[in-house]
Amino acid sequence: MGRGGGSRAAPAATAPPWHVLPDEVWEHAFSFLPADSDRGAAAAACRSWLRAERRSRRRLAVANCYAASPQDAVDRFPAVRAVEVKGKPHFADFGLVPPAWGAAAAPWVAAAADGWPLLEEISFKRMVVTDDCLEMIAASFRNFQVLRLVSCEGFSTAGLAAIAAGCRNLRELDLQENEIEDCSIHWLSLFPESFTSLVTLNFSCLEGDVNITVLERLVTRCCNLKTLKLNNAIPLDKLANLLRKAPQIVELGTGRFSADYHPDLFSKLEAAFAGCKSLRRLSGAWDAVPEYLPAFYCVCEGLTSLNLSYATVRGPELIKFISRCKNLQLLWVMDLIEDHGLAVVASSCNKLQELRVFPSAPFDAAEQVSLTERGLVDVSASCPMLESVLYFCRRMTNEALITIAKNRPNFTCFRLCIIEPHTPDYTTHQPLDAGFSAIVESCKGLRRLSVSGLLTDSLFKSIGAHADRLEMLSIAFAGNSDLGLHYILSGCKSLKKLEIRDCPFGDKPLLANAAKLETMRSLWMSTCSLTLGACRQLARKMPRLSVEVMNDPRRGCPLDSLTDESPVETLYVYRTIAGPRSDTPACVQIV
Amino acid sequence: MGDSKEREPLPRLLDLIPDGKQCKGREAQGAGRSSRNTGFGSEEDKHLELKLGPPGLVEQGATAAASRGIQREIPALSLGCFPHKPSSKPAINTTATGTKRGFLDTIEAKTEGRDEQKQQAGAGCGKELALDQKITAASERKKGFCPPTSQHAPPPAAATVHDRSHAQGRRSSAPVVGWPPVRSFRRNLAHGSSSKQSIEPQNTEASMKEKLACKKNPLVKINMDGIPIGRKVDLGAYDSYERLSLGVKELFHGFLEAQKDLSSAGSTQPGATEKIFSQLLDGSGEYTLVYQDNEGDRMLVGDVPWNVFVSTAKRLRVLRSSELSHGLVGTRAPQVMHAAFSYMFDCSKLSMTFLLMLFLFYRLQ
Repeated sequence: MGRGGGSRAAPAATAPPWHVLPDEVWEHAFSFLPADSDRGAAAAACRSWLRAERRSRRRLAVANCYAASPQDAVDRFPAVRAVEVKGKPHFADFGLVPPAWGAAAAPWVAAAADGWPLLEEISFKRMVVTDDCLEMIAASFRNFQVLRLVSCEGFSTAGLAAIAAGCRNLRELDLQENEIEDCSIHWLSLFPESFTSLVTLNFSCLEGDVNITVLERLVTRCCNLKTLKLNNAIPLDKLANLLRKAPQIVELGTGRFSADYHPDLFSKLEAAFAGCKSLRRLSGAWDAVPEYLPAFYCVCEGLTSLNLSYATVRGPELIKFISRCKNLQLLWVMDLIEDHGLAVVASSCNKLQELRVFPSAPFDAAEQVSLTERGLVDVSASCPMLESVLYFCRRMTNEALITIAKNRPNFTCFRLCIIEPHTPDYTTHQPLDAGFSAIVESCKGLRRLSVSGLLTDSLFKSIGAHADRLEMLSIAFAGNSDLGLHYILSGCKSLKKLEIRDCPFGDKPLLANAAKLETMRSLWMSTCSLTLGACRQLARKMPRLSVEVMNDPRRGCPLDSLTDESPVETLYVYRTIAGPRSDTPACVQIV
Repeated sequence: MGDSKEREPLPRLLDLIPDGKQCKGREAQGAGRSSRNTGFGSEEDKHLELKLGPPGLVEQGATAAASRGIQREIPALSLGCFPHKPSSKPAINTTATGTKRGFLDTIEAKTEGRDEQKQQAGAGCGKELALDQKITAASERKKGFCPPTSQHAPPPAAATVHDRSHAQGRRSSAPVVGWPPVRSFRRNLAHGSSSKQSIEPQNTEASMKEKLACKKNPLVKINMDGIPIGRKVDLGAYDSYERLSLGVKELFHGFLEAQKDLSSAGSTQPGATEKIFSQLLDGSGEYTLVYQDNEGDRMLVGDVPWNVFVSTAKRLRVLRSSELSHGLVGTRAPQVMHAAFSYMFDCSKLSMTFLLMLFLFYRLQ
């Protein structure tokens, strides 16, 4: 409906007959328009639409917390109920961003507490969320329901205790891969006895114990609980009890899945799983031991998602287990599955859409894991719906990549990490340009790409020319000259995020394509060949870009005193309407 | 013995240090020491990490010492940036050691010739690189000492376009920060798993290490229901359950009194708290002392010999006896029996007297 309104509006823009409609009507009409991009486009049509759109916006996503100020966000969209804010650049996941870089959640929480008293949902990703933030959240929003923290840090179980005690209508507490300090507070016991609204409880990233009795009681009384993800401190023998109390569960993350083998524990587990008829997604299985894997067999049939990326189990039991999951759409495993395991996956899981294979020993080349290009080729050949891949391996060939590209032109996400940098095709010793080129040429819908191995500028030429829908590109240890970066920035029409490390790309392509950066969300370049002069020029040329320089080895001396020729270790550029941020630590300087 | 498990991730981490040293000379050693610590993931490390990084928002008023800390950190973070930038040389020279300087010079010489080399991108270079990587792989195997970069760096003058990547390839034989792109969460897991996956001896090492840790650090957490603040107790300081029970009283007595004062101003009988703690062990009072053993099970305190208890208890809790009925330990006697039986069959070292005691206990109920 909203879309219809939009298209009618275009020709009538000169004399809009609907101009007289009251704002309330428009606000209602806009409530049928869910996509942010559509709403943005509609808001640009005329003043009354802008007004209506901003007043009716319920969900707000800010992809970079420094792109707009929290106050501006609150002022422009006063009726927001759900807000999502992302902080640090993606490379923070791998330790490339200085620890105190910034991305504090506090200003957002403070602004929200002031301006959005009816806020129901908060999602933070890669932000520094302090206990004070969590306390403020618990105290400020009357009807707060969803808290989702992904890859965040800075808080402890004390903050969680505040959430548990204060948010009476909480539906989701979803903690994914955060660093949480354990300060021995029984935070789970602070959920009031009358509290029954929980639908999602995920504390899988929490280190340290939780009170299992309290957890059992909580699970028992929250009869709408659909997602429960435990941490690896929950021993296996407690799992059966928990499951018996929540047979309606849809998504389960088990705790530690290892114990000495006891037939009665096994049968208890098996019976508990048999009761979970609606279980669809399974994860956890920390330290899984093969003897207990058959306990899962009765739920295999129903599983659509299986995340064994923390399960350090290998061997025939693992493969047998996965081969029973005929309806898997998502599979995350460690490379311990090996090529022959993936061959079994290929033949049994024909509905697979997403595959991720993680390295079990990323730093140890001597570790004997037989996972090569073969496994990926097999899966790509027999899983027609496969569209997303993250694959860590130690060797690759152009031929394999070409076959994969031919097999699966429907890839939207292709991330291949060949662990040793600069690894060529091991059969021909050629760069892997041809293989990756085949991927970008045949996968027209590719939105995310990570490349690795020995690569030259010719690949980037191909990416620039063919990857029209590409939104995020990661490059490491590749290319041979400025031309490589130029190809990417002058092509790749839809590029939003570009992250580059250890590539010989210099100033020229950056300055030549400065305007492109304003159409993108962010650019990260570390250990490339940039100079401070170029960054200064870029900042002058593009006032709406924030140009951050990091890790300068001669910290201490202010930026002004350095010459234009000084090298820049890390450059992070993003567009912003808020101007330069004020919370830069000493290691970050805004040019 | 436990050492060797710890040492396992170290070579990789330590590999960073020689590089760092080359970049920054003695300054780097501080950073090296701390990066070594990160292999253990203790609380202390977190502390160090914070110091390593640039001063945070909290530490805004950073002292000179802190900023010195930062400078030490840089070498690790900026590892490998130098070879790219001949222009960075003058600045680096201020701190660089002789070897490093030589390395930079060769790189500079090389990059000067880069433009001509560009045109020479040929098929042969791939092979050359493969060979080169074999060499780096070989040198990598000699873990423990990290070959100085400068030994590798100077390639023959008539090099091809991939010389730059050669140099990088060599560097990457020592671990590069953030590569492969695996989240730190997963990194820890990978370390843990690789040691777990491999052969038995290491398993026994691990268990020995665990035991050692138990002996070295018998400090365990203790919480009491209704009291929001936990305490730590040194089990090694007691020699019997009775003394422990007295110790627990010492730890929480004050809290309880304070709470009572607050709630009902003086209306309770004076001996109430005394009574609570005197009945901790027999389960007849308002509170019962339970512990979590090394297998994660919650057990009643008092069942096993004291020294077995000290070596297996990971955590204590003063539980409201009312909680015993619903939940873990479950309906008192049968569950306790069950737990005790399975425990007995697990641990052959337990004696028949224990079994008898349990039987008596059961009959008394």
